[in-house]
Amino acid sequence: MPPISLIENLSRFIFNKKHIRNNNKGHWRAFDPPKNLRMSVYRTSDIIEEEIWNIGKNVAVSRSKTLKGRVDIAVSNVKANRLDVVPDDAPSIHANIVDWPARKEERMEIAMKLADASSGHRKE
Amino acid sequence: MSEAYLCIEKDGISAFPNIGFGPDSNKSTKLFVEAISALKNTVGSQLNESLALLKNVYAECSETNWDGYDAPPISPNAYWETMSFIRLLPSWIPKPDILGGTDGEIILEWYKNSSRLFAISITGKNELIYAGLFGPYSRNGSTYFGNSIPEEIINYIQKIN
Repeated sequence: MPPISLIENLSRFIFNKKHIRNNNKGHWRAFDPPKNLRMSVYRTSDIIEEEIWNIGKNVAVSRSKTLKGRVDIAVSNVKANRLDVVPDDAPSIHANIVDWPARKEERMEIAMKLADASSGHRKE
Repeated sequence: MSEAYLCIEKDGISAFPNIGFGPDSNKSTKLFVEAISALKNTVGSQLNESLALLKNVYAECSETNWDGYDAPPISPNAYWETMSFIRLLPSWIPKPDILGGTDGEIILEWYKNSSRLFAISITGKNELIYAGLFGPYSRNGSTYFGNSIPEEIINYIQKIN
């Protein structure tokens, strides 16, 4: 995969219906990182819609969950909040959002800003 | 999981001064009693709805990986502390949405839109961790939670509506 570019789109798959707002934006909880502070996302700019959902379904199976939707965010918005995106090629389009602050309250605020800049898509 | 509280009211708002007499006094007493009753029902209903939602969220988030991203279950301490917090909320504060957090905590959220919202993470460790977007500016912080809701928290909630 090519290096991460600012205009790329990242998708995070959602397994809790509350994590997508009714206004078709992501809920900030969808962007609240797990304990290891590595937020799993997929680089989906060059992938057609149907294929994105297929990836999501596979992720859901691997996590023993039902896919509820996904939230999309541009890399530029991630970097604007002093976070970084690191590809890990496992699989090839997978990456992690990293460099989260140590303090929970700061992470919550950043998650809210990311959610405000995101788009949410419910799985039909 | 439920607790009973004995409510002893002294000469508060619902104690109508019993100094009048005649048809007009009887009518105003009746109207007053009805108004107070409706107010109590509204307040009690909002509290009960919040406590029921809390109980549902606690049940939904009771197993590891409930969110698909390895979140631990909500801790019992977070549950009990959130119950105390909700009971202490002034009746004029809108009821919050309630969600599970990534670290076994409970999230209370007041939301107007995606750029105007306030959320508190209740950990069960006498600490409220909070953040909010208030249109052009944002805030975050943490504060002690004991037997009352800190004024700064009430002020932030008020900014949302």
